[in-house]
Amino acid sequence: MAKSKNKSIGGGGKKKKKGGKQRHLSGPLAASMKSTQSTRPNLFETIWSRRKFNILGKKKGKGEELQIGLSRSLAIEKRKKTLMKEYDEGMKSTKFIDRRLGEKDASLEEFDKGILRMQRQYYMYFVVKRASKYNLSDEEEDEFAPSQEHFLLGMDDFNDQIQLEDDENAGAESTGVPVGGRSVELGEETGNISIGKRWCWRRWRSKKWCMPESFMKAKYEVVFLGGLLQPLPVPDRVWDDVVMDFITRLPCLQGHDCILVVVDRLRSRAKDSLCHLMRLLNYYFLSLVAKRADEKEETERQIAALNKLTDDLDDRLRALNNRDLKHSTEKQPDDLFDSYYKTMGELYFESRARPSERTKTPEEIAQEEREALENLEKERLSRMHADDADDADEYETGEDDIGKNGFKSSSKRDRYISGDDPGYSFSTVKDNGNKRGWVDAIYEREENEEHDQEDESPSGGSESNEDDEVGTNDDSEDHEEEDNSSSESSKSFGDDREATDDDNASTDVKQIDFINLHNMEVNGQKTRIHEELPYVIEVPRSLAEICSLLDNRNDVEVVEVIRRICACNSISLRKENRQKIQVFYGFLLNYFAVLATRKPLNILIINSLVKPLIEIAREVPYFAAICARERLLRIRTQFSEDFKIPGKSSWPSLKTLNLFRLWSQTFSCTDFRHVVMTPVILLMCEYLMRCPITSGRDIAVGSFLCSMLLSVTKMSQKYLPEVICFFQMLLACSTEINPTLDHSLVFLKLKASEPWLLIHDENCTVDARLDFFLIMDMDADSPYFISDNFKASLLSSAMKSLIEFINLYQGLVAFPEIFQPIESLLHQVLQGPKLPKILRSNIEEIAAMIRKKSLELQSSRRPLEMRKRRPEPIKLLTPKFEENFVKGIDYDPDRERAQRKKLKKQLKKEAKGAVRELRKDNSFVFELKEKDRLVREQERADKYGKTLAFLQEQEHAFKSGQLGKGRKRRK
Amino acid sequence: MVRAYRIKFPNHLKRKRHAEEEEEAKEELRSEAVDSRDYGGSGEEEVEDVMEDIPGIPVIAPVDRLKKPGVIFILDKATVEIGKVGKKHQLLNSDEHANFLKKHNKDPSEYRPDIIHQALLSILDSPLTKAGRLQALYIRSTGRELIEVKPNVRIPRTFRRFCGLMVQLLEKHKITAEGSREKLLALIKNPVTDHLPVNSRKIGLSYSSDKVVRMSDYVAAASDNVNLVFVVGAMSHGVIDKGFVEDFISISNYPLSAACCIGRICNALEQKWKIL
Repeated sequence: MAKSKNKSIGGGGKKKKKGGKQRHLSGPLAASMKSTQSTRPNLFETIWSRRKFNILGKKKGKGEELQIGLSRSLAIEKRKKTLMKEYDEGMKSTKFIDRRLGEKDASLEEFDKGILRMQRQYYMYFVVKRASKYNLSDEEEDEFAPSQEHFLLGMDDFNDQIQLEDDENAGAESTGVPVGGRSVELGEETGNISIGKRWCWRRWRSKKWCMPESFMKAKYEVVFLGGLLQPLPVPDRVWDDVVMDFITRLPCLQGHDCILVVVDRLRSRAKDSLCHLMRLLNYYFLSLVAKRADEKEETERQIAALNKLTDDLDDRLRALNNRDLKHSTEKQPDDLFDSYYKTMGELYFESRARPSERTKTPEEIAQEEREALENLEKERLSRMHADDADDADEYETGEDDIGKNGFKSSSKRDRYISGDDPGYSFSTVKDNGNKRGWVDAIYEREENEEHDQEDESPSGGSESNEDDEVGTNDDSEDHEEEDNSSSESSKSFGDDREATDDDNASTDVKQIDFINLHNMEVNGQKTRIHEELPYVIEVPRSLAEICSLLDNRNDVEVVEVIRRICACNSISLRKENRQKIQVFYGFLLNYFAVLATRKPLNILIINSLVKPLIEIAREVPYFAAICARERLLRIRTQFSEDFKIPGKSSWPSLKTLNLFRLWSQTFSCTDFRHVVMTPVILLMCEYLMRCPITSGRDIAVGSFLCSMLLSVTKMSQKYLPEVICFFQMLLACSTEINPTLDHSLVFLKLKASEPWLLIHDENCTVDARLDFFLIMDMDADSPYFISDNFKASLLSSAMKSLIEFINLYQGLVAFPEIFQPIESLLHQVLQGPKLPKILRSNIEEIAAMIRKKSLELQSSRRPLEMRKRRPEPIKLLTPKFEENFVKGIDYDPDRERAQRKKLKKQLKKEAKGAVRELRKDNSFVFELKEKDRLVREQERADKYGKTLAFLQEQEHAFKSGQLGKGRKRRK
Repeated sequence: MVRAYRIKFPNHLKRKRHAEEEEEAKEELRSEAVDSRDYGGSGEEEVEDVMEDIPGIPVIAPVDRLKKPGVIFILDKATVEIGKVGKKHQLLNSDEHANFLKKHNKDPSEYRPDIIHQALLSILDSPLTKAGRLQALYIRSTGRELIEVKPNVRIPRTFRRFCGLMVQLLEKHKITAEGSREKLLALIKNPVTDHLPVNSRKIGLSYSSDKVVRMSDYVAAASDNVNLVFVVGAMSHGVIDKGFVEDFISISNYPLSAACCIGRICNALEQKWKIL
């Protein structure tokens, strides 16, 4: 038994070297094969585990290279080596335990073990023994510097067998008895060998050959301490080995900035020269330190690092410039340089950018305006007082020579008022320019605004022109009166006047063309008007005051007066001004309303008042709204009282209409709900709805209200059924009465008792533009309202606004239903034979339009759908996956949890493995026990059988009488 | 990437919970039974009366979805194969991995997962599916893998993401929904016929078939009691597996792409079942 084990040990060392090829041949197998000499593979060991899903290009991984059969047989072998042995030895009373150094370590090879043992011995002998002679060695000391040894072994190429075994193997079995006993354990640990190889080794490796080598190795290991850190060889001669070094980048001293150091290795004679060097270096160092200190101070003086940088850059630039200059002086003398300085010189005189005046705040603008007006007033007043002297002068120089006078006066006056200049004083261009500049500066704004009104103004101006010509400067009151009278009177023959003016003006300069002249004249006239008015006007305190101020003035003057009042009392100037302006607005509104009631209606002034009223209302919106509401209330109460009195026309007066118009322009019409506009619209609708038509005038008022409502609701697109109703009524009026026709018409006829608009004459003229104010001026019983002309033109204008309403309401879903009755009425109107041609075509067009649009809308209508609902699609779920999935990675965002999970998994796996292993061990042991038991039983049975057989034999013999010669035989 | 991570209960806890719930349900049932005994079922009648009393709202009977006939699609011969290209596992694709496939002696033209992607999109995007008429969808790969795709899955619109999805599916054998643990895609056991309903009619589509039919007529002729199973090839060349196919038809005189063919089938079925 021992022999076979030993043989197996011999191969133990070789396991590493020739691993793969002969892997299947484990120790006991090899032993058995020694006899058979044939390598028949275990078929079970060739079984490989296969992947479930093949992944192209993937090599077999860790788990997949597992050979199930092989690993199984390997495990069995291992158990046989360990468990079985334990089991076998468990019954023995004597055990041999090898406690030698490294014997249990399977990774060590025999040779290394030998070396270890030797070192140990050496250590114990030379080191430990002397230090502690009487100390017993501990187990710990056995592990003497193991890491170093391993390191050595790794480098060793001598991984062969130890010669002891060789010797033992080579020699007879009898020689190595003690050694063999020792190496039993070794064999157990080192495992498998190859028999054939071992035999080969023995051929060419002998003891003699091996020993010195191994001893050399051991010795070298003791002496040789380490790697490259060996001292250099000592030189033989002086200057044989020299070290040279340069010390550079030193600051320049006496023309040198570098040191060469030469040191001889043998003598190190550099000592003296080094002293020199040290001195030199010290000097350098000191100078350097001093310099550093200076520099430091400098840097401290500098404010920022940036400055330094820029300075540097500047320096560099300068250097570059210098270089450039040098170059230039060499190549082309002075040309570049000169041109540069020339341009520099030119640039010096060039104007530089200056800050412009800042934009003024509204307060400042108002202040300036006020100041300008005050200055002008002052000048005017002073002029009024000083005028006499001037006039006297003028008289002296001669009043007959007009041109001369004009020239002179202009030159004299242009210091303070160039606006004073009359139209005929433009003999020189220079004068003209001056004057225009003056005018522009102050009235630039108004010029634009009043451009359209300028046509009316010349008449007034011409009058004053003439006055000026005479040269009498009376007080402003007189002028105003004159002006007004002229403005009123000259309306009809204004053109003629203008012509005469022209003649007058162009007495000396006839070559100037008419347009120029006209412009100039207008200019002059305007300035004249302004001159006559006081520049600073106090806010009027009552209606009487405002009447006195504004009555008998033309529209331009009125606007100017209001403008001046506002400018002088601008809200932005003072807080108290707000109240003043509010009061003023109230009076102005009142005045505006009163104007409408005056009998000779001055539309121009009414028109001109609208603009300033709107502007003021913008400044005091809250007050304006309150005024409007108060007035509305009064109008409403008036209306309801009027309505109660039968026979009295309750249609709104011109004053009310004017106010409506004003408010619709002042306030926003597009608001869904407005404090003023909503009641205004409601009131207007109420008028339309409730007032019965008693005359043609009422119809005109109604249609005016309609057009006003149109303009108001155009943006907001509100639907007003009253308007539609009124149109129906209007159309019903224009048809002949036949009450049997329609039920709905009966209701309409109640309001319009007569066919007010029934046209009898086919050839009547249709006036496209009815003058509303003219109509309002007329009496309700005026014969004009019965005339066909009026009827036709009113009808045509009504049709126009009807078209607008159709366009406005065409987006409504109920359009067909709203306009169907109107369409039928239109057809009835058309049936009347005596319509003018234009009107007829117009009405036909409207009817066609209504029909077309209603058809369009009706066709686009969809039938009602009951509980319309779309089917719901199935709910989609998004799959959860990683973009770059890698198997085996836990994509849990919580790293700790993932880690824990992984560890748990590992633990579970290990535990399972351990359980499996234990189970297998148990079954293995059980098998062994079973085998033993069987053997024992067999033995026992054999023994029993044998004994029994013997006894039986004995018995047989006894009975047969072979024993004792039948002496004891019974019969 | 942060997402909901649902706590997984260990199996024994789950079992315990399940048991508890069942018991609770039983108890409830018992109590309900007691209740109904007490009131004699008068409650239900009252509810109905109230429903009838509400004016203008007609009571609509709940639609029974199970009764609606459905359709099943099988995409046959799909090439979903993973390869280890570089360090990563990727779905092999003739465009990107042509050289890799050549190196491994494979024909790159066979690796066409984009066909599957298109086909899946055309099936799952059709109104037929949205209406809930798609009963099931299976993909049979050339590597004998059988993938079940739930009709309510939202397949990634881009091919790159689809590839990622398929890789993870093949590695993990299942894909769950975001936020819930419902399996949307899973590898299931062969053969596919085990998963088909009993009264199903398996129809294979191939250009090679001599029986050219008009799809709308063909579908209209099929009765609603039979579940229609369409087997469509998702490969670039070849014919589908005829093993379990009962009827082998061609729906066009021209060879069609898988997506186009599926589109035709879906259109015909939508017309038949009046899905708009």
